[in-house]
Amino acid sequence: MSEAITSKSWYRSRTIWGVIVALLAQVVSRWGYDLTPALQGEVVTVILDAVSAGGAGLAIFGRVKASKAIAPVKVRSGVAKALVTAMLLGGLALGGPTACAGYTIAQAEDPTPAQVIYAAQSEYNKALHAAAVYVESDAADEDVVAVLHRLSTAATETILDAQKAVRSDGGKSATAAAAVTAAHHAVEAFIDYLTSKGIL
Amino acid sequence: MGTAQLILLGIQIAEAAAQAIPEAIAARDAVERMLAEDRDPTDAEWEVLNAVTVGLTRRIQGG
Repeated sequence: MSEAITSKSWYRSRTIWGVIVALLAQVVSRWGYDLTPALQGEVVTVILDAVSAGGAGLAIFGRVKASKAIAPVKVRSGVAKALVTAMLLGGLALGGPTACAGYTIAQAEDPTPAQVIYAAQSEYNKALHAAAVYVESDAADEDVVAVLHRLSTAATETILDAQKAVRSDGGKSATAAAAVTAAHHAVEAFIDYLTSKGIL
Repeated sequence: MGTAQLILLGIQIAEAAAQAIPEAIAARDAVERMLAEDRDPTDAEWEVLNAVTVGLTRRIQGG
């Protein structure tokens, strides 16, 4: 059975715009324009405000139908694939879908459980990157850090367990399915928390 | 947390995202190879991925 999923639009992502503005800042610096980090942050905020206001205006006038898809992703049944799609839903398509192993695997015809877990773990690593930077930041909230500590421990353990299961028996056993389901829930909790705190 | 700190944090996270992009592209390329060759990841491919996962998790744990 197939089901369609949706994910947050890339143009609503602070991370994506942050990357774009940072790259533009590097380009314009060649001509002597200095876009400081603070100014870059303001530019990103202005862009997101404009996107938000534009979206609200369009919705009010009923000229567009609300849609959260970057692009429709067809997902077949199966807990392993759900793990990847959960990450895409979490806005982890950093660098755009073309730079995304999860997106590639979600588009694939018939990926194996091992291929899916590999893609899922590579997506998970992106979330870990963002969390690590937050934790090491002077601005980090210690309560948030404590939660990230707990959630990342659980997510890493479960995704490594899922990997072990699919590597040992190809993901065909009930044990492997249970391991992948556990990884799905743990990683989803980690990503949801990062998203709720604006870290992703 | 002040506005300036939030902006700085946003920039730091954006930079981290930028740093993660080459790894993401490498992973995507690896997945494309696996699909094209109709095979599962090799032990070496898993080890590269696991090293990143474990290293980043340790950073979050502060170790």
